[in-house]
Amino acid sequence: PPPPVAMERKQADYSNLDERYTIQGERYQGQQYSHIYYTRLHHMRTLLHALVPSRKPHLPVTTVLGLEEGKDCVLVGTLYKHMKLKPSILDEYSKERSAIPLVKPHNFMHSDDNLILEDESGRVALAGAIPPAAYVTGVVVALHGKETSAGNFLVEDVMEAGLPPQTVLPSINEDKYVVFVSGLSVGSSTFNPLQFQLLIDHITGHLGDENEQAIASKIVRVVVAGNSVHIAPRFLNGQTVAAKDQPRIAEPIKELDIMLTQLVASLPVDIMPGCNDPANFALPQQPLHRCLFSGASTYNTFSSCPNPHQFDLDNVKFIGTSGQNIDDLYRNSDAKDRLEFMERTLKWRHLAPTAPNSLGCYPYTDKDPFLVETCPHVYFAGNQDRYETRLLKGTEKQQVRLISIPRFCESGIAVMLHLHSNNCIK
Amino acid sequence: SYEERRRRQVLLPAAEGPLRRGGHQAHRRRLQEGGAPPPEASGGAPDARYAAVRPIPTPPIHHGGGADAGREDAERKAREFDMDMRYGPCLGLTRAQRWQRAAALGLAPPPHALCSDDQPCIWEGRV
Repeated sequence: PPPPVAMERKQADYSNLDERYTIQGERYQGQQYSHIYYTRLHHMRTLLHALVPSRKPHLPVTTVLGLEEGKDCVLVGTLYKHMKLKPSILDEYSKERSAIPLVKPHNFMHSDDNLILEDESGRVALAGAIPPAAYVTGVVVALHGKETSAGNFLVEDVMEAGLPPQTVLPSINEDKYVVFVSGLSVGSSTFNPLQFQLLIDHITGHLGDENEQAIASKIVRVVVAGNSVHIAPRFLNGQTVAAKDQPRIAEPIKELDIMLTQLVASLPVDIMPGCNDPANFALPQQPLHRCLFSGASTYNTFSSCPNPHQFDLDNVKFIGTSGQNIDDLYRNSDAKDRLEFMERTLKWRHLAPTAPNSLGCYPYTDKDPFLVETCPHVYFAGNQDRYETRLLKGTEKQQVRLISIPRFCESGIAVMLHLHSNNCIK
Repeated sequence: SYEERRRRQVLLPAAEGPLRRGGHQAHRRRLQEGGAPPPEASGGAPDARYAAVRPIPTPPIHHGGGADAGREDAERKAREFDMDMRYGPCLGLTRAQRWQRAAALGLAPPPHALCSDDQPCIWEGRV
C-alpha cells in the first residue's frame, strides 16, 4: 500500500489584543463605581456629540440641568432602568417582607419598569418613544425630545452610537477554519467524555478519511469560550472540605488538562474562563492560571486568555465573551433572540453595559475596557442555549459575523468558522 | 498638618447631613426612625431634578502671615477642583490621580490644581 501522505496543518498570524482586560498594575484604593460610569459617559458623549450634528443638524445639545420646557433639544446621558423586580440587598431590611417573592424569577422585567437619563448635572425621567424593555442600565444614548410640564423628557427619537468603524478585509482565497466550543463542563453529570474525545480526534485529524483529514488540517485555532470545568457545588458552599474529598475538587481540572494536552500538541488553543471556572467572578475575568494546566501549559500553543477575549487572526478581528454579558442582558431586557442582544451591544459600542449594575466588574478609575472602539469581523458569545449565527451589516459597510456558541455538554455542537469568507458550520 | 485638618473639620458647614456613625444596629435604628436617608457620595447621581447645590466650604480663619495665606489659597483652589463636576467624581482618588485622569481625557484641568502629594479629595473620610 502507498505510504500515507503527510498533511501539514495551516497556520495563521495571531496577535493577542488582551492588554486592556488584564488587571496588572491596578491597585484598589477603596474607590466606588462612579468613576467607571464617568469615563464611560465621557467617551460615549464625545462620540455622540460628533455624530449627532449629522443626524439632527439643527437641534441644540444640552445637559439635563439646561433643559427648558417645550424646547426641542438633544440630551446625551446614561440610561438607568428602574426595575421593580430587581433583587436588592436592602430588601432584607424592608418592613414589608411579604411583598418580596421567595423564588427569584429568571427575568427581572416588569411592565412598570421606567427609564431615567442621567448625566453629571442631574437626572430626568423619560417617556415617549423609548421602550424600557429594549434598554438596560448603563447604556449611553443621545435622545431627541423635549421637556414636558410634568417634568419628564418626552422622547421623539433615540440615537445610539451605531456600529464602530471597521477595517476592510482584503479578499483572500485560502481555506482556513477556526473552531469555537464552550460549556465543556468537564466533571459535571452531563459531561460525556466520548463526545469530547470525538471532537478532539476530529480536530487533530485522527478521525475520518483523507477528505475529513484535509479539512481538519485547515483548522488553525481552537477557542474554548468558558465553563470548561464543573466543580460540584457542595464543595463550594463555604464549608470545610474533608481531606478525602479534597482531591475530588481537582479531578475535573486534571481531566480537562489531559484532554487539552492532546489538542495543544496539534494546534494553538485559546482557553477563556467562564462563570463556573476557577477564575475571579468580576469581569474582566483574568486568565486561568498556568499551574492548573500542568500538562498543556508546557506547549507554546497553549494560551490562557481573559474573558472578554480579543485577538486578530490574519487581520480578521475577533472579539468574544463566555456569555455572562449576554445572559445578563437577557435577565434585564427583552429581544427576539440572543443574537439580537449581541447586535445591541455592538450598536451601543459597549460589551457589557449592565456592568457594574447587575454584572460584577472591577471598579476602574480611569478607563472602561468594555467599550468597543473598532468593529470586529467576528463577535462570539459562549455558553448559550442554541447555536445561532447571523451576518450583521452596518450603515457604513461593516459586516460582523455574530456567533452564539451552544453549551457542548448539552448540545454536542462546536462551531467551525471559515476565516476568510466568514461562514459558519456546526 | 493635623491641627489644620482638625480646624477645618469643625468649620465645614454641615449641609451634607450627619455622618454615618455606628454600625449595622445604628443603621437599622435610623431606617426605623424614618427621615431622609444620608445623601450619596459626590460621585453618585443626585436624585433631585436639579443637582444638589453643594456650598464651597469657606477656608478656616488663619492665624499666620503670608506663607499661611498662600497655602490656604492653594487649598481653596484644590477644593474648587474637587468640586468641579466636569472632571468627574472625586471620592476614591487622590487629587493627583484625578488631575492625571482629567489630563488624559483631554479636559485641560487648571495646572495650579495639581498637587504633588497624595492628598485625597475633600470628602474623603466624611461621606
